[in-house]
Amino acid sequence: MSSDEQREHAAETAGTESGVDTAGSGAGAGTTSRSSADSDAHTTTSAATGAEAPLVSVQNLEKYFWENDSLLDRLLGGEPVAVRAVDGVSFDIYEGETLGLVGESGCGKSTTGETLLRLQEPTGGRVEFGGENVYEMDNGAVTDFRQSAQVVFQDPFSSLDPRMTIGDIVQQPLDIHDVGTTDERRARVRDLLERVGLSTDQLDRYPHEFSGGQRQRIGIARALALEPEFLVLDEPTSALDVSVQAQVLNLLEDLQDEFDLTYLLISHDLSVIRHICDRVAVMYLGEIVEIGPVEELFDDPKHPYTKALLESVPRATTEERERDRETLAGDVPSPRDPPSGCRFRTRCPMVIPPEDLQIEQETFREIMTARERIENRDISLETVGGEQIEFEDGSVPSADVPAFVDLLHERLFDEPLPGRHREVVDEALAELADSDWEAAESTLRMEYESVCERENPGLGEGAHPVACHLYGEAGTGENAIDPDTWS
Amino acid sequence: MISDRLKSSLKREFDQSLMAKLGLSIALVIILVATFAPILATHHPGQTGHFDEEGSSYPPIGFDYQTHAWEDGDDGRERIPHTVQPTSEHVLGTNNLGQDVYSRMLFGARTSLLVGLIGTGLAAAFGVPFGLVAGYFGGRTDDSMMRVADIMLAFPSLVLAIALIGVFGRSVQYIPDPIVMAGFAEGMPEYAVLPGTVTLVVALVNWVWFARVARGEALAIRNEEYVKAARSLGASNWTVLRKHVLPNSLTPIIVLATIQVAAIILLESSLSYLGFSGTTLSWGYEISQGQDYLRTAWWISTIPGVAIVLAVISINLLGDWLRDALDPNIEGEGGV
Repeated sequence: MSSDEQREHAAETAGTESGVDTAGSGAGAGTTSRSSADSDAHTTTSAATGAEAPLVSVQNLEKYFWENDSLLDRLLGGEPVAVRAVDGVSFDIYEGETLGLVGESGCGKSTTGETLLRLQEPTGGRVEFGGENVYEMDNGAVTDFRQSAQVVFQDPFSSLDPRMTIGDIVQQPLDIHDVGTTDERRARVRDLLERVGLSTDQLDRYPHEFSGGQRQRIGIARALALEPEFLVLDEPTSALDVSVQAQVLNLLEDLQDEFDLTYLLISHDLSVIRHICDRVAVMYLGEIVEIGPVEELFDDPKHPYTKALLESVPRATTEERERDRETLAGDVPSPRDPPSGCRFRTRCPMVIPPEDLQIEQETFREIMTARERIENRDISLETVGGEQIEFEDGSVPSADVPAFVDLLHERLFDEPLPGRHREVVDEALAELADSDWEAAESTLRMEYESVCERENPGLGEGAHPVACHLYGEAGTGENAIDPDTWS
Repeated sequence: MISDRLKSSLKREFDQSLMAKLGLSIALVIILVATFAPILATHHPGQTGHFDEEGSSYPPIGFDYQTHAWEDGDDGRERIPHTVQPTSEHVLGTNNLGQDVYSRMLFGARTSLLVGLIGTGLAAAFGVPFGLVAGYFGGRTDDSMMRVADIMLAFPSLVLAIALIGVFGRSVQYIPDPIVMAGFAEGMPEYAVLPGTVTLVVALVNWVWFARVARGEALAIRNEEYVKAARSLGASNWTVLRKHVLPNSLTPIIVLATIQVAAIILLESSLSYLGFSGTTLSWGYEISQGQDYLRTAWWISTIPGVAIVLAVISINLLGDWLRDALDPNIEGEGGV
């Protein structure tokens, strides 16, 4: 990203920031809207510092976990399997802003957060904090980094050591970094507890004597003890009651203004993201598919996955009853064996058909799903024919093949496919009558292979990049759907 | 470290459980007896030659000999005990060497407890850090460290102990007895005897159990978010181990230590029964002394046997009580 683009981006961030009040979008019952004074404060911070280099710059970060990788597995000749929790993620976080990281459970959000804080060692890529590579720091630099980058965890019940008093917990960072005298540390702990809204006479209590919201405040006080510049908030409210969520979010916003904090907010809750973030990055299966300013992304989502994600949020209006929510079909694929090309293509409602093919999107989607099942060997051929058709040694008697194909066709498709597509598909299904999976696969691939499965679209550049072929060259072909027409 | 919650849980479990009360009372008696052995003893434990007028060992109070002639008219006459009440200065009789059994039981309790407690302490001192390090660091470190532990476990403990004693030789430490030194007990031995090699060996045999339990706890605790939080604060591995992993893994280790005291007392008794102990003032050694006289002077073996059983059972009952009180997941059995 050139410095010009950064400036432009910062201006845009600031622009959306001072704009429409975002809180009305349903950030929870007790949420109060962000005051305009807050917004102004944000605007000045972002504008003043935005021209500089980003505070945190994540470049191609990778974190794979290896399965079957023990000594014994290796002796027995097992191949280690990579679980690609985070697979080439890049984004920048500018001073004073809040970047949201949103995605389904298991898409690698939390791993990204932990890896960029170097709580886990990455498999590849780099993270720069204030211009310095976090993974190449020597011990002294790491100590400084630990002071300036902190984390608030999701579960307020396991993030506090049950055998330490509240006072000890909040004082621990000061002890570790040897800040001030004992008396100064105690005074600082009192200040911090008061600042997050707890009473100082609870210093000697144990965590189990507090409620979830109070414990999360203790966790925040601990994270703030060393006066960090940057906080990773790893689902800080998802374990809390809705009313308490709003209190904690408001506290986090107030603290951001007071201490000039930069946040990375990890969440699967879109209303939380919309309430507190300046920019949002959407993650799917270890990759970022779209990054944009929060208003732009919510009002005009580009990536089909972002659209589906926003679509899935229930809205508090009476029209809601009538609305037919288009939820995503299928499950998230396994990160052990992610789909080729675009990772979302197995569930995408807007897969781009080949240039020369005449086909409705719905039909194409059905064929894609059937192809997916064939590639995964996910059809039990024995049961297709039922009682009538014999299925022995992996094949059907040649006389019964047409009947077998019809039954299989019926099973895979709700409606029979129109015209030529039926011919092509049935040709492939006939090959399945001999259990020739590879032949069926290649027959279908020849005809229906989409650009979405050949190439990973990659995240572009600019203020609102999106990783989708619909916005690249392939999206200009006549077969591609205009993404704006879909809802 | 001991919270109010823990105290109340210990008390509730204690009130509910007859077994806990029984275990604690017996254990307290044994501890008191072992501590004040020189005062409570009636005779010097090593003093031999206490025989009755016929040259036989004295039976315990409540028992006496009966002369029994074999029916085939053999002139070999044998004295076997029957129940007539004599008065005797030897409460539990005397053994084959004419030593006072009661006094030897008291001093034997010292040996058992010393070996049990010091041995457990040594085993824990080595096994707990070993297991915590293996579990906390995981991966290759864990694999290689626990293989060492598995190899230790593969040997039968008694065979391993005997082999180790063979390597180290038998040494005995003499610890000055403050009670005798202060002049409260005239004519009693001035030194308590600690079979040093045996203590070391039982620790070497049993540290593995501490290592395994500590490793399991550390494996679970290292994934807790408070450990991640501490690391994100910049805490070193040493700090995390000391401040978070150790305190949070103590509960099962304490329960294990209690039960290990009993196991080690048993192992020490086996070793001294087999004659590897280095001291003769031991319950296990007493059993071996009396085994040739079981038919005629049963008390020489039986009484130390009962002592071992009582000690082991009472300590195990204590262990059960601690486990029930410390583990919220196990419902106490209630009153028995």
